[in-house]
Amino acid sequence: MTEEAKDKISINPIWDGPTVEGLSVGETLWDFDQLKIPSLWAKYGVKGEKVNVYVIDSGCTPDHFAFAHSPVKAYSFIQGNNNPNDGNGHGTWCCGKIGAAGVGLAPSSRITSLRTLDDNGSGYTHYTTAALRWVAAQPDPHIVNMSLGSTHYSPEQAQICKELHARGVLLVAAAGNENTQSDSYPAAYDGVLAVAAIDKNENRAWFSNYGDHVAVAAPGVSCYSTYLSKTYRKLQGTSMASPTVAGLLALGASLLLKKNPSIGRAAMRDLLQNTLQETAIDLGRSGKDLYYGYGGIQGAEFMAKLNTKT
Amino acid sequence: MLTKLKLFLCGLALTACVATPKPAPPLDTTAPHPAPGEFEEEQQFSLAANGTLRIKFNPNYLPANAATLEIVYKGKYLGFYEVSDLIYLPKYPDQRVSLVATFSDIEGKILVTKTYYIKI
Repeated sequence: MTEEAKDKISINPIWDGPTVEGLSVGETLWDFDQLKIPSLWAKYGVKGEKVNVYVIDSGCTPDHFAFAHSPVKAYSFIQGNNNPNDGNGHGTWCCGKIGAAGVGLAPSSRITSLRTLDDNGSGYTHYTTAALRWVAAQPDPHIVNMSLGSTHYSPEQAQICKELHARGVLLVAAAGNENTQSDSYPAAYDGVLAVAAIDKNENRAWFSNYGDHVAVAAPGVSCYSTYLSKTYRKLQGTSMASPTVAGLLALGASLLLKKNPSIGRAAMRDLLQNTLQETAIDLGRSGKDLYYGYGGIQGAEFMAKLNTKT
Repeated sequence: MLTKLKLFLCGLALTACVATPKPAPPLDTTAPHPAPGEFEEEQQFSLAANGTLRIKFNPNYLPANAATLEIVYKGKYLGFYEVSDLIYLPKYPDQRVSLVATFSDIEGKILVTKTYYIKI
């Protein structure tokens, strides 16, 4: 057996579970309702304008009408496979939760999809490291979402995350779905904002990983976004919670850029991350804890406080 | 060392959240039919070359305080939009398709739900 084959981790078996399409009669986007997203668009007049968001995942489907208003740029970092299109659905879901019309928190943000996971939903750590290096070479990166992970610590990936953070880039990553305290990377690297998942009642999702590195919790159970073949899917996981945070941060970033176009990226990063954590509603044990970090993200409070700081 | 990353999508409990698509609202055959290429109530729509339907709501025909809307189109829930958005929808081969829009004010209070018919 080759070294590469030995290190292969089989696809997360829960990925093979059924997915559902559509919402029940009377059902709406509970994450949008809880975070008051449509009201925030109207109240502050922003929807992610001028914010560059990079989604490192399984790619993005090129033909979904929900991206017609702002086509997603897409690149592949999978060795020997230059196709940037999503054959899995996971990446399309995450891109959609940030930037798709109708279901994305920041539909005017500029999304770039960086494909490092194959159609089975797996890929090597160095693909993602290469994608992060590519982001570092871009002129004005703001936010990176990574709804993926491994227990393998990569010094190279830790270093590039540190460098991006120092440049003022907000790195957001899923905490993982094993219901364990073991570190998962990139979520556990320094400079990465690790996101746990909560349900509609703001209870911790049963699968959500925990630990000191968890910064905040966000909707990640039965959440709805774009999928393959011009459809939508309701999915759950910390994979869903992470782009929800990235989307809210993009909304906040567009407000900061609107009020102060010359704001530096490092100042913007600090304002966004600190405000996100300060306005999170304390859940679980009082204060920051292993399961919810600073607590559940709050859309209205986050934007209102950002608005007073600029 | 080569290490595989994996997705953090949780599907074990998905059977607990099975939902069915919203059924398409029945066509109201008593409603006046818009002429071909028109959107009832003088709202604006056009067809893009790629078969996408583009809709721009005319504020003159909406509730005064309408800020956002939710759309169910051909029985599929498409999510939240601002009334000022240029909205892209898939074009179906049907001659006449319905669009249900629920308009809300800036605080999210529902103002009115309207059903439109589009004649293509």
